[in-house]
Amino acid sequence: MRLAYRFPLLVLGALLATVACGAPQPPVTPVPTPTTEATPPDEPIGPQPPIAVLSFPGGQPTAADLGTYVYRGAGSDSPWLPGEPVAVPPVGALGEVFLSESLLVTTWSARVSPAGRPPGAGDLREIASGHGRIVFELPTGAWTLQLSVQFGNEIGDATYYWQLGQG
Amino acid sequence: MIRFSRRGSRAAALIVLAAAITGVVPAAAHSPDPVFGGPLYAQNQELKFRWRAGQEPPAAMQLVIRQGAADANASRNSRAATFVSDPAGASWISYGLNVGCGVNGLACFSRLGAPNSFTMSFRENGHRYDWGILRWCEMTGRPNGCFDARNSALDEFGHVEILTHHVNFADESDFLDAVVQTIQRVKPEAGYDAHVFGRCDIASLQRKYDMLNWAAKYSTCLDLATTLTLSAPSFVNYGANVPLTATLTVVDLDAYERLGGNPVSNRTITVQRRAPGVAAWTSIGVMSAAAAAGTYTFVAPSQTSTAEWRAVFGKPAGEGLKGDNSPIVGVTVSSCRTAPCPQSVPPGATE
Repeated sequence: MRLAYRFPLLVLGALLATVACGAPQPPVTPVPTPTTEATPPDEPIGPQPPIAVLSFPGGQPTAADLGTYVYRGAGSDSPWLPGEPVAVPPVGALGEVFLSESLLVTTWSARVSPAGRPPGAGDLREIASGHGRIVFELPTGAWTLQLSVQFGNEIGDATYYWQLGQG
Repeated sequence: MIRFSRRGSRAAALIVLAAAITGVVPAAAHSPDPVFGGPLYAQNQELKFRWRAGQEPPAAMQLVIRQGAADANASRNSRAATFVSDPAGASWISYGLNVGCGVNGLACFSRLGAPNSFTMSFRENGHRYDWGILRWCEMTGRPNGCFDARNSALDEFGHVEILTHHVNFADESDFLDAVVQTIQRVKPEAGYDAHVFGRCDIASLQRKYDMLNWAAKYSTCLDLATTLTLSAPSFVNYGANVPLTATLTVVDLDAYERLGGNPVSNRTITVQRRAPGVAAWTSIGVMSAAAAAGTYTFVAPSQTSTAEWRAVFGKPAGEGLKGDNSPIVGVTVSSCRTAPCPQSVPPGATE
């Protein structure tokens, strides 16, 4: 149980270290670079849900790819996404997801499917669920991790994706 | 994939950590679809939509969007808003590249204009995402791997009404209970081409917008308690008929929203009778629908003995109502005063 209390502090420290002096830093001045990005800038149809960041001890905090959501009166529907790449330790680590807004989380569930393709029949496996704080043991191996979050007060819901691989 | 890690770091740098608070009962799997906040449209409000200037869908897409609107209207099974195409509509639907659906969205909506209007958008066929290329089935005729645009339109119209994504069981065995889903299935997966709202979509539409009429069936995704009452005269003369009147309503609970207290018509209500002191009930007949909503009548003819009566509403198959028994009503029948009367002791017999 001590870990449960210490973990947010460890993560907070890791995040602050990333902001202040962490190793890979985004450039201070944006530099246009050639990209193969197919999607041009696109104004969202309405408010967007909070960013979700997956953190775990010794790992780089990583923002998720945002999938389907309904949020504050607007929403967007997406397919199953490959997810934002994250290198996880070879042994199960305790991951925690932080949201960029302080919102009531009524329920959440984390599911995995083999990485690299949309889930087929029998591929999906729920690895954790709960309400409130989003903490769960990260699976080892190559998976797409889908996190579904229901927000309280009828704000809506959002689905986030990471692609887990061995670090 | 440098873009990925950069985005992750940027987001992390911006984030304000906040632990979420617990304590609210979540929507359970197999429950009616969750809903989100915001004003409802009026009951049966007709929402007229047009194609957004400069972002009109191609003809094939216009057709399936209109079909999706018709699917929503036909399968709402409630007094939810209806949708109709009209060039002068206050609401608009767009199609194209920059339609506001975000980096990964196939289709999107806004009901920020409720209760007057809405907007809806569809990504253009052939759009390239990080995850692949969007193919709408109706525009490509592909045998598999495409998204059914008519299903997608129905999902978006469901959102416009007030629905958010159904919470499935972990194994998604209940996927077909709702069209408004987090992940739209691709052809030929089961449910990819659902063109009617699922029972758990309808359940929430009924709770929010009420029933089309009092005889309409309640979604089997609901399980509403009912109240059955029975009234009858407490005393009748020997040989008289006993008129019985029952009323059936949905229990008036806040959780039932607009459905609480509804009269329930055109159901099967059975009348049962027993002699005082006897445990077993005997079914006498089925009550008839009366003029008033949720009211049923029955006339028990020529009663010659005091009895207890009750009405019974058995849990119906195929709808989301619980059964109920009315309270017991006693009806006293007077002694026989006018011949011919039955003899308690046959003539000539000795006691």
